[in-house]
Amino acid sequence: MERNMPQAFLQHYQLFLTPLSPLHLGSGEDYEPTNYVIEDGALYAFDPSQAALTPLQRNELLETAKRGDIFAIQRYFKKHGSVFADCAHNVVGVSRALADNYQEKLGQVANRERSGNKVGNNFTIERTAINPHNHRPYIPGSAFKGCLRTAVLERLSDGNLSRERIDQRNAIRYESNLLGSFASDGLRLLKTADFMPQGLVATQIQYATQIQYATNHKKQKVVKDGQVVRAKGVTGRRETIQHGQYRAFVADCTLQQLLLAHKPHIKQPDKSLPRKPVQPKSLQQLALDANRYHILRFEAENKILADQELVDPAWLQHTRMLLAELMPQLNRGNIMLVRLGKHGGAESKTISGLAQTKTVWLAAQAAGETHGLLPFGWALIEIDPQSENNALQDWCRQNSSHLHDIQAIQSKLAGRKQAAAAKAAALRAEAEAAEQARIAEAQAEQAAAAQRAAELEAMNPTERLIADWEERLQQFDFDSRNDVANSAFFNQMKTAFEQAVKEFDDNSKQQIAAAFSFKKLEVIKRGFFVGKREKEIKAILRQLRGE
Amino acid sequence: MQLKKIDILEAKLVLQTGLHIGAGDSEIHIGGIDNSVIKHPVSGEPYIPGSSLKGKIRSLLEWKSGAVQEAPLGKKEYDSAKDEEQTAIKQILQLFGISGDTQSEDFQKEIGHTRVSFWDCALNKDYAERLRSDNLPFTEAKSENRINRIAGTAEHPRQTERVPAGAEFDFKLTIKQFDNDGEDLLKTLLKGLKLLELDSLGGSGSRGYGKVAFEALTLNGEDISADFDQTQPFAK
Repeated sequence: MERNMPQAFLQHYQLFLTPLSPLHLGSGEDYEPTNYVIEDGALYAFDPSQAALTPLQRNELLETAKRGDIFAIQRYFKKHGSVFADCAHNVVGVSRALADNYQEKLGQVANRERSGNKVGNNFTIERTAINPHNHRPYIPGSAFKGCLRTAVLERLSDGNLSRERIDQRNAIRYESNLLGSFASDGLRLLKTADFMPQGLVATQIQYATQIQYATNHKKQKVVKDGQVVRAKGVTGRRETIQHGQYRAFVADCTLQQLLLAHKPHIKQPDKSLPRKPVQPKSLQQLALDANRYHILRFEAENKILADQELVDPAWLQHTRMLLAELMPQLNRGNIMLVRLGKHGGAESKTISGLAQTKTVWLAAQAAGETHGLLPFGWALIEIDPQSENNALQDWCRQNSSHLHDIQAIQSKLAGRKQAAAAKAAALRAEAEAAEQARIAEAQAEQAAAAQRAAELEAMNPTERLIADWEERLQQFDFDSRNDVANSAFFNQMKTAFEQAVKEFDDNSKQQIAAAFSFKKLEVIKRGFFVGKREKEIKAILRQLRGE
Repeated sequence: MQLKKIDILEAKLVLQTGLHIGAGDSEIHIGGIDNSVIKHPVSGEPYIPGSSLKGKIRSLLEWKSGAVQEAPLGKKEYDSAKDEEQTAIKQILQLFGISGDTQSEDFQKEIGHTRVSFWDCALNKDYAERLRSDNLPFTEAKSENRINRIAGTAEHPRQTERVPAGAEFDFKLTIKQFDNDGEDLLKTLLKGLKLLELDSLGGSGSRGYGKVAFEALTLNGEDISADFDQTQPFAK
C-alpha cells in the first residue's frame, strides 16, 4: 500500500450470536425471595418499594420484618404474590420442577439443627447479566474476548509448552510471555462491543446440576448391577439465556491494524507494541483459533456425556449435524464456535492437557434429573453474514420446543400491570369522588352560613339578638357535668341580655322578654336554667319586662 | 486572521454499551466498587468530560493520517510530511491545536487558533428524569474476573462501575471559522466522530465497553444526521 493513502486502520465487523445451549453469564446479583415471586410458571421480579400495598398489608410486612424470621418474610412475599407481581419490572420463564419446588418448599424449615438453628432453602437464583434499565440480558464483550484469548493462547503455546514449568501460579507470566501484557498484548487491538439483544430474548430459571464422573478418572461409565453408577453433587438455580433463539444477540467489533510503515520513533517498542506474530490479522484468523480450540472440546466432552447417558440425545444429534453442515464456514473462519460463561468447565477455559475435571455442571429442568441434560455455554457467532443461515434456522426450529413463549409471558405481565393500573385508577376515582362530595358539602354549609349571616344583617338589632340567641340556645350542647362550659355560656347570655336592658327601648325589651319567657327557656334547655341560673335569668327577664 | 463565525454542533450521544470513564480513586470504600466513574460533584450524575472526547477523536484522526507517533502530531511532522498527509496533519492541528509548538510565530500564523472546543456532556435531562421517576440507578456495577488459563480458576474478581447502555448525553462542540477556513475542517471532524463510533470511548474498549452513537446531529440547529450517516471515514 502507498504510504500516503488513508488506510482503514480500523476493520469493522458485525457479529450475530445464536446460543446453542443454555448460557449463564453471572452478574454477581441474585434474585431473592424478597424481590421475586413465582406464579403460574413465571418468575416476576420486582422492586418491593414499588408495590401498591394496602395499609393492612404494609402493617403485616412491618410486623413480619420485626419478628426477624426469614422464613416468615419469605412466606409473606409468597402470600401476597399477586400484589407484588403486579408491579414487576421483569418476567422470566421457570422450569416446571423449580416452580413446584418453590410452591412447596418456600418458607419451610427443612432442618432444625441441634443448636436450635432453623435451616431452610434460601431460594436465591443467580441472575444472568442484564441492563438495569430495560432488564434485558446481554453478553459482556469481556466474556467473548476472554474466550478468544484462551483460543489464541492455545495456538501460541502449541509446541513450545514445557509442561513441567507451568503451573497456576506462573500462569500470568506464561500468558504474557506468549501474548504480551497490557500495551504489548496482541488482543488489545480487538475492540468488541457487548452483545446486545435483538428484541426480546427468552431466559429461563432452571437448575444447574453438578454431576461427578463416577469414581473413574478416565470418565468412563461405571456399571453396577446393570445401573450406571453416578454421583450427583449439588444443584443451584440459575437464570439462563435459552438456546434455539436465532441471532438473538448482535455486536459490533473492530480490529485495529498497527499501520506504522512510516516508522515513528517509539521509546520502548517491546513494551508498548504487540509483537507482529500476536497482532491479529483479521477476525477470521481469530475465528479459526476459536474453532480449532472449541470444536475439539465440543466433541470430546459430548462423547463422554453421551457415553454416560447424561446429555439430551436429540439435542446432541441435531447439534453435531449442524456443526458438520457448517464445517466449510467454520473452516473459513466466517462462523466461530465459542463457549461462554459459567459452568463451561475448566477444560474449555484452559490450555490443552492442563486441566482435568472430575465433575461437570449441566443444565437441568428438574433437580434430580440425570438424563436429557444440556451442557452450558455453547454458542455460534457469525461474522458479517451476507444472508440468512438456513442450517442454523432449521436447528433453532428443531430445538425451540422448550422455549417459553417470551411474548406470551411478557404480555401476561403487561395484562397484569394494566389490570393493576385500572384497579389503582378505580381506587383513585373513588377517593376523588369522596373528596368531591366532601367539598360540595363544605360549600353547601358555607352557603347556608352566608345566607344566615345575610338574614341577620337584614334584621333590626332586636330581631338579630332574638334570632342569634335562639340559634345559640338550640346549638348549645348541655351537659350538666361540664360546669365550665355551662357557666361560660350562661355568662355570655347574661351579658348580652344585660346589655339589652341598658341600651334597647322599652318596646324592644318587651319583645325580647316575650321571645325568651322562662317557660320557653325551660323547654329549650331542660335542666339548664335551675338554681342560681334560674334566679339570675328571671331577674333579668323582669328588668326586660320593665317590672 | 478574522473570526467569521462560530458554528455549534450538537447531538444526542447514546451509549450502545456500558461506558466507563474513570474518576480516579480518591478514597477506597471497603466492599464498594473498585473503579468508579466520573460524576458531577453536585448532582451526582455521571458525565462525559470534553477532554475524553477530544483526546480520543484526535488520536483516531492521527492514526488515520498515517503519521501517528507516540506524541501528538506537531510542527516537525507537519514540515516533513507531503501532499495529502500534510493536509491531513494541518487539519488536525487547526482543529485540535498546537499547544507544543506555540513558540514558532510563523507556524502559529499558518495554523491559527484552535478551532474546536468540546463541551463536557451532561446526562440528558429527560433521560435523567425518567430514571429518577422509575427509581433506577444512574450506573451499573459490572462484575468481572480473570480466568487462569492453566488452572481454569477465576481470579481477581472486581466490580467496575459503568453508565449502562441506553444512557443519553447531550453532546455539544463549537467550531470557530476564520477567514480562509473551508468546509473540509468540518468534514474531517465528522469523520473523527464516525471513527469514534467504530472505536470506543473511555476504558476497557477492547472488552465491550464504551460503544457510542451520535443521534440527531445538528449544525447551528439544522439537522445534518443524514450527511453524517453517509460519512465514510476511510473514503478518499
